[in-house]
Amino acid sequence: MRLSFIRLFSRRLAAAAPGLAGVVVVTFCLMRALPGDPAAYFAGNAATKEAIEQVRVKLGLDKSLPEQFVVYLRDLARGNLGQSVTTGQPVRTEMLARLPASLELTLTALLLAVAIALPAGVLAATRPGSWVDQVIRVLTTAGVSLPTFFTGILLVYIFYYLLGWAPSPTGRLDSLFPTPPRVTSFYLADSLIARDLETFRACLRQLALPAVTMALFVMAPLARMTRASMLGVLGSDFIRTARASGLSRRTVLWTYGFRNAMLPVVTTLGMIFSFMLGANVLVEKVFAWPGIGSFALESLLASDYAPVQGFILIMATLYVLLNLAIDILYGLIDPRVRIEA
Amino acid sequence: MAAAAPLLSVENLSVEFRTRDGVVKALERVSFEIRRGETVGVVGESGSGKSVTAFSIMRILDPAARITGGRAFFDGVDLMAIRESELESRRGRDLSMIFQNPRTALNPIRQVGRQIGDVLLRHGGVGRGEVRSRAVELLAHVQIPDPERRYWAYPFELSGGMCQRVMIALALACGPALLVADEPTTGLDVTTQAAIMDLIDELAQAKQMATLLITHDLGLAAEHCERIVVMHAGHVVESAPTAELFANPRHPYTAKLVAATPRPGVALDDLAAIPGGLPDLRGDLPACRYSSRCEHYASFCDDPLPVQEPAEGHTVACWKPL
Amino acid sequence: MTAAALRHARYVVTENPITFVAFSMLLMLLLLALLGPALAPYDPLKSDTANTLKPPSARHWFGTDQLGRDMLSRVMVATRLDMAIAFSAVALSFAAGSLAGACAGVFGGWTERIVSRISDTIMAFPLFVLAMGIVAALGNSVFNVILATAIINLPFYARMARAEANVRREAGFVEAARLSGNGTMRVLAVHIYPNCLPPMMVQASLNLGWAMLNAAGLAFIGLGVRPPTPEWGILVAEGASFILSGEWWIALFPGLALMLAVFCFNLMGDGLRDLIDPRRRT
Repeated sequence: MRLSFIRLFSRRLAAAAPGLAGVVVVTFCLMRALPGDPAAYFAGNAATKEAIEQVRVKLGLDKSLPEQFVVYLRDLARGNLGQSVTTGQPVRTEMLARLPASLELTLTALLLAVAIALPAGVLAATRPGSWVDQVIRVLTTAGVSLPTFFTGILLVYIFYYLLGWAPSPTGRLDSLFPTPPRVTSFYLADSLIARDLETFRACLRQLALPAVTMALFVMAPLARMTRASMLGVLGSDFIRTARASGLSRRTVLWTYGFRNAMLPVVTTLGMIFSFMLGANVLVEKVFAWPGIGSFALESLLASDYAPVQGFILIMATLYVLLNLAIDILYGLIDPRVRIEA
Repeated sequence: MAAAAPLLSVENLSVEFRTRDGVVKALERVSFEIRRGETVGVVGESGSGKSVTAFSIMRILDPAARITGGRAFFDGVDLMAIRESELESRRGRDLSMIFQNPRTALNPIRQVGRQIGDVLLRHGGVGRGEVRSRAVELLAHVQIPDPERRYWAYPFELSGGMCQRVMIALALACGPALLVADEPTTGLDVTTQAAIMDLIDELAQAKQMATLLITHDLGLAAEHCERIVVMHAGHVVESAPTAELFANPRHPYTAKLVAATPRPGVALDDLAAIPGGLPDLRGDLPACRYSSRCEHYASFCDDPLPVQEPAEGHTVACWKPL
Repeated sequence: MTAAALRHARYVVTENPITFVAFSMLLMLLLLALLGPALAPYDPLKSDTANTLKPPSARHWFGTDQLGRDMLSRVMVATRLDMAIAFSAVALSFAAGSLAGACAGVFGGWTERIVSRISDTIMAFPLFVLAMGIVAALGNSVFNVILATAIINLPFYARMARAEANVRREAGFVEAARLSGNGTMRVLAVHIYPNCLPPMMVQASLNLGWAMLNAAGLAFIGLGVRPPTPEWGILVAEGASFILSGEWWIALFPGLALMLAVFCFNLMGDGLRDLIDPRRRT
């Protein structure tokens, strides 16, 4: 069984390679398709003609496209994502500094969404037609219609302006509090590790609204899929056999029902991640969250394009890797995929 | 033999289904008995209510179904009256069931040995340490070759016949007194069919287990059952010991069924199809649901059906038995 | 045949009152899109510095924004742009995607490989991020927003069309038609393509909501449609900064309008799915 897992992993890894290749090529083409003179953009608004020429040579934009592509690949291989004009720092440094913020937000939102959506879906499926089911169905249909940026704003209005429960949406941590000493770069974890409960609570308060906003967006498709999948599985033959064998309700529901129902849900996770990585940008803007999304946006608006390119590359690579993880997870749950009969 | 109380006694079982197009009266006052160690067959066309009867006894019907009346005494306990939790503890332990399409009837992502293990842990009084060895024993018992290795197999890795053997092992794991077999050989090739039926017979004999065999194949029932119950459109129309049923079918429907069954010595051309089809089970139905297809129909057939007993152990629900 | 279809439609409508409501609301929105500027009480672009940041009142049902512009008019007029973007984008990706997919399914070989490769490359990106990249690269214009949204939705249609075409190709449609003297193109156009369409209509309806959210999201972050053009995403962005000081009406009404439109599209999609393929009812 271990052998087949290695085979599954390497096969999936090989399948992910063309995706990565496509991402690299497309990003290159996109950033070269910029309207106007790319060198002028990369040099910045206030640059003189000589400065622009210097930038042009430095960036290799005077070379032919194929040569540029080779340089691009070489830079990527070395981890060089270029330089940000607005901050003067290498893009890689900026991104790495901000990545933990985005990851903390996205992971928290995902956990929150899963913790609520999966049980809700199972609940609705075990009581089909009941008022619980109807309510969940309406909520999920409404949920997939919510514009993330709007929900964020609404939540800020209700919980910050009206109720005063949430802190002002100005980032990860109120300036009154010290940033916790860096261990994982995740403020929540780090403050716990440093046993600084005050800071932990402050971080949690700042994280709450943005995480909920993002989670809301994702809860709906997850709950829908869980409900539909669970309903389908509960009506299947093997569940009937399990019941006829007198297995306990809990075993039937969870060991036989839920595990099988999770297969389509895991497949849906791919789409969910696509939404989340996109919604990241919007949520970070609404809440002034210092992640890579808001940095990319600021750079975009300032016509600083190197960070934008870096952002697209990072997000896309992250997405390809996440899909790889999902495929592997699926293979772990469903033996039919990894064993050739 | 007749003096011992029956193991299972179904009395006036009635079941309805609520559907989009109305209420379907799937079963109406179905009654029959099974004694310990006896093999009884329930035969009838598709849609006659045979499987519904089996599912009703075990109360694993669709949520859209409702048991509207009747009782099913199993070992003195009315299965229709007891609580779900109590029934849960009896299912698999005192009475169990095997199904058609064995591949889909098993959990596709769980090893077959572990599925048997689940039942053993639940009812079998087997400790965690011995579960695996006991399950392997059971697999060997149903004549699955290389049971040690097959314990770890998934249903999709096994043939239809082997899956059915696994299901039998699953059903017999805790030594139930009654096995309900719902079309266990449909979908299997003829040789495997015979092997599976022989296996069931053998195991039933060895454990003095009663078997309720549900099938549309009258020939199969004839070969393996001591008594046969004939169903039509949710009614039990006749029930008799096998030889008696074939020698003296009393209900017009049974007579036609017997005439339509392929047997050695009878050319296929001589088999007569039964005219008409099952009546629509929604809405108002006549007292005798066979009347629309019956050539002996008379006006008194619209009166509520009697249950006559023209011979010992032979009952028929008809005003004018043959 | 049409009588039976009408009866079935009436049955679905009465069975599913929600679908009927959604359909009616959608018709209303379409009407608003067509007639918006004519129905709006004020000029959406005209500022009135005497009346800035006024909450909803009898004169201004949705209040006024920081330049004194009437919010009701702005929201109403924005309907046209948002609906136009959504419909154009979906129509474009439907047409291009289904054609590409059908060709891939029928011809196989290199056609299939190229279409698959392009589809996979698009799907390798988180879709909104790709849309951002495309609009950033090509420039801020309505057309580029439509193009970007169409591109990111292509793979869904291509995949569906390819699957449907594959089924028919393997069922022998192509051979049969060729034997009766038709060219492959004719077979594709007349027999295979029209049959791929019904399941994709459901997808299209669901896509409309997603396309609208996409466009609004892009506008919100400053890509694509630019102020002062009224568009729901831009309106919400403009209102966002005022939320913190309590002027809720600037962001709320456009946001609600957006939500309503997307909600209707989604309900319609569900209803269509029940109409066309009752087996897949959830």
